[in-house]
Amino acid sequence: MGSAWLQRLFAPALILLMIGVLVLRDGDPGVHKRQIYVLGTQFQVTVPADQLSEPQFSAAMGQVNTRLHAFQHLWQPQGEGALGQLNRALASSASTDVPEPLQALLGQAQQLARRSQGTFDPGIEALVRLWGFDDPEHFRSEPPAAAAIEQALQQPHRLAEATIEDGQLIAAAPGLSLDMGGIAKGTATELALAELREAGATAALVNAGGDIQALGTRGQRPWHVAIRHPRPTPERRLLAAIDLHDGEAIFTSGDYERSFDHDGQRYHHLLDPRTGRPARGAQSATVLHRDAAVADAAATAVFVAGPSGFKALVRALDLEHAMLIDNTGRALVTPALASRLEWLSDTDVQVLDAP
Amino acid sequence: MADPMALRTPADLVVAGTLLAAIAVSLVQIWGGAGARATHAIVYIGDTAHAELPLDQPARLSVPGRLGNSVIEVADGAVHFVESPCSHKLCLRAGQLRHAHEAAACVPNRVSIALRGGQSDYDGVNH
Repeated sequence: MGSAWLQRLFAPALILLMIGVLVLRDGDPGVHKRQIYVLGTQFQVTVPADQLSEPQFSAAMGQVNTRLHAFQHLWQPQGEGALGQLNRALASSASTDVPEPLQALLGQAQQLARRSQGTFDPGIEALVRLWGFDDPEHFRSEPPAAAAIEQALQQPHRLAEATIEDGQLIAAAPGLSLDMGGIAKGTATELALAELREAGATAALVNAGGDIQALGTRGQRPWHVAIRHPRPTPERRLLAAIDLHDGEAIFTSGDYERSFDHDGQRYHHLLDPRTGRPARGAQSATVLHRDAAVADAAATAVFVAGPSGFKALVRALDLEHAMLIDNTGRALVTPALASRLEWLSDTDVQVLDAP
Repeated sequence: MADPMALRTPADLVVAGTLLAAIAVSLVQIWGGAGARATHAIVYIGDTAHAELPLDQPARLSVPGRLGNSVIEVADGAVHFVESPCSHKLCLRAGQLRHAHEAAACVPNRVSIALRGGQSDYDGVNH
């Protein structure tokens, strides 16, 4: 009697098991995805389909698009927006009023610049332009003359050394010019998520040209992202993977992005404010932080610091989650980040001592 | 007395074996590495889907972007940019894309490729 029931239940039980597996896996309701081009990159926004209807998502993306284009206008270094006007004023004067919409991010950028031991500074706009990295469509194919770099370094190029007080920016001399490209993308991902929250979403992922910030979770699991290998091969394209918690941003700066090759040497856009030249010593730097603007600026700073300055900079910027891939492919990683990474390629990993 | 768990006939064995094999294949397809392979690529101009390319059919597509034509090729189950009117060809450096989490874009020309189908291992790739 018992054996007969067991045998009768065997096939239905297996079928139910299969259905259960599919239901559990396909509990994922799917996603809305949309991309917009702004700030010289592609912003891809992903929202789980159970968060917003398609019309709600489209309307929200319209708001994101409007807000990010307004943000871009505000911060174009040579444009008609507020930063362009500020830079033109500083060209002939050592001091000028800082328009209210610029004050918070300029203040944050200056604080990060001061703590970054010279590795991050938005005051290098003239150097960025000299190298041609200001225009992603037409940057140069050979480095500028050494004399031109030295000349640019003689001009004020350190926001860290200026004073921002009572809505006034005061530099040591005329000529300071600001480019917020090393921090603005972080603020832009925060703005995009704010618009999506405003539309009613409690979960979303914003991918700004490879720099990512998460809101909520993807259904019952965290957002799961991979980190590109800085020297990919067809068989090994990814370095590691990590779960992002609500609000976390992960930013990577690499020498493989905006760059050109000349005489067998790669010249990339991550300029060292101390030398006026592309920083050497690293292939990529990754920072995870709950403030995306900090993640953005700190990833640049860690890259510029290189392996010799990694430990000191991580402490100076109080970074819990940072990683640097040096020129040999070795990964230097903070303990907190190391404990969360799932390595996807065979990597020589050196975990920093806990502070 | 016969073993109560014994299957009665060869047909029972065939049914049970088939079901177990189906479960194993499903698990591999759903959670395993093979599921990460994309089945097709969507080519976008700006935010508008311009073409859908199955990755199992070789193809070569010229896509009119903002600066000129980007050329996209499908071969050996992968898709990639092969020509671009942009000045620094970062899109060409993206290489062969074959997994559901992969994507590539020519930002100056506003042409991008997103892979679809298959189970994506990652929600995004940080770079």
